Amino acid sequence: MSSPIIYAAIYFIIVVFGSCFYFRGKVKNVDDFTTGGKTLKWYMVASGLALIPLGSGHTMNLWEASAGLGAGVLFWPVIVGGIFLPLATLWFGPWLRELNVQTFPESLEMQFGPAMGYLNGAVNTATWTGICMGETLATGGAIYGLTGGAVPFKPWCIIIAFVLIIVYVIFGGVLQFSVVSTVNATVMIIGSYAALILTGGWLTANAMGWAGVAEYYTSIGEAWRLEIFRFSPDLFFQIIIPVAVLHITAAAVTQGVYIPIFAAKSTQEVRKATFMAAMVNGMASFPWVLMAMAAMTIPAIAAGGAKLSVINHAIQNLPAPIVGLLMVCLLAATLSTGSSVMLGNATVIVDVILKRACFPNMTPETQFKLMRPMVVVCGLLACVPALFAPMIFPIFLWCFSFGIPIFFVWLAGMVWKCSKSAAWITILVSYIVNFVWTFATPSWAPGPFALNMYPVTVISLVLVIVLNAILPGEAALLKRHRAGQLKDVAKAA
Amino acid sequence: MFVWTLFIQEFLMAVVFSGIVYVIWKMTSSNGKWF
Repeated sequence: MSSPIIYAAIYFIIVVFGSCFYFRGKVKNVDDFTTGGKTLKWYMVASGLALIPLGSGHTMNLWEASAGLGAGVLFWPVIVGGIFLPLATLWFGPWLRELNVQTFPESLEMQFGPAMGYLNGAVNTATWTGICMGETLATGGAIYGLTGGAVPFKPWCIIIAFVLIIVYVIFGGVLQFSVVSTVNATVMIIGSYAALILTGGWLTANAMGWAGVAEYYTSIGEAWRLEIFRFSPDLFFQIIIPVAVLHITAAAVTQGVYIPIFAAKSTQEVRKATFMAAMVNGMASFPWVLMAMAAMTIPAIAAGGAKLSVINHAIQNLPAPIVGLLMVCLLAATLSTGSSVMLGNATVIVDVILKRACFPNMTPETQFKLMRPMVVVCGLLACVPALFAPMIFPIFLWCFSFGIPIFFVWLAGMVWKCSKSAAWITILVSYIVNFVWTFATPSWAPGPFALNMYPVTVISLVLVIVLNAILPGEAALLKRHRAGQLKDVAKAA
Repeated sequence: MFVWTLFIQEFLMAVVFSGIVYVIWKMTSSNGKWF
């Protein structure tokens, strides 16, 4: 077994089993498991939020994309950290806390009735299982690459990824997730920037330093790769618009994203987390992209392809402890996303589907007993397909696109109008478009508009605006909720 | 050196983007209730 994996294994054994020991006996009921008893401080909320959307997309996908699009790919973390997370901490999350719901589908149920909550609970859980399958494959890929292929990718790297995703949350639920995420966020930032600094040292000792990297790209007529603000249609349609739309819409309607927000001690703690979450998430991709840009100037590494550039550079040029640290950093990124999805899915299945839809008389004790087995079941649903099938990009977007119409109807219901008819028509038509564009893409769809997320976004937005304007409905949920609160206050007075 | 230039540009963008969202929230919130 290679030494980097030993360093990484020691780290995860200490962190995971340490957290297991720490939380032994402290998680006593379903509220402790799913909301941590609402005790999280702002820095734990920030760490969890920074890591949840920071999966393989922020790291492995981005360093691969930098080979084609240059440093402009750094817009990805800037959009997620600088726009999506502040939206979640300042508006979306506080709205859900204000409504006093335990899951995202409950807020849809308050807007459009139980059937809408059940639909979202079922569809969102299924689609995010698909996305988690991608994260499981990415985690397995990271383990495989950084061990130099010493551990077979299938089945062992996938199985190790599955086990790591599960043990991240199985013992202490939200509390364990938050503590491990706080440690991982710190280690990830320090470790990845340390690897970048060592890469600079290696370049200085063995080549011409970072100046040599700049000279290389200039000499081949591609100096534009060194600039963030070199906009191109590819950068807009492959990075900026998809990242903005898929995070602000599809990710915003996912239970996993709100785990630390539901568990926060107060809404004030959520708001205080805004800038730390934004900066940690926004700056986390930088070392990976820069290491990839440097690695791709080395012919032997470039020959291996952009996908393996950082991994091959680390194995060939950096000391084993740093390769182990990089593995920890990469796994911290991918595991946090996968485990938050597992925990969110298990919460929604137990609370929304099993309790609210099937067994309304279920006791909190039974709910608690079901939570841990359900986390394992959700993990298996993502892991088993990952053993047999590759993750295809259009399928990844297909899964994401189911959340887009949900977001628009939810947002309209929160601040504008709750029209059941408008919501159902918008969602069903958008889902049909999503299916058609994924499995029978029209030949006339030009260039990037062949991707399913573009027509789904346009159709959803247009239908929400037009149908809500012409169809009858109730006042916005927040308005009605606040009016109710004001009446209660008046009665109390 | 381009590494520092990129680092500062990305850092400033993250600050500016999150700052803009925060300012919009601050401007649209009142008495603890926000839009």
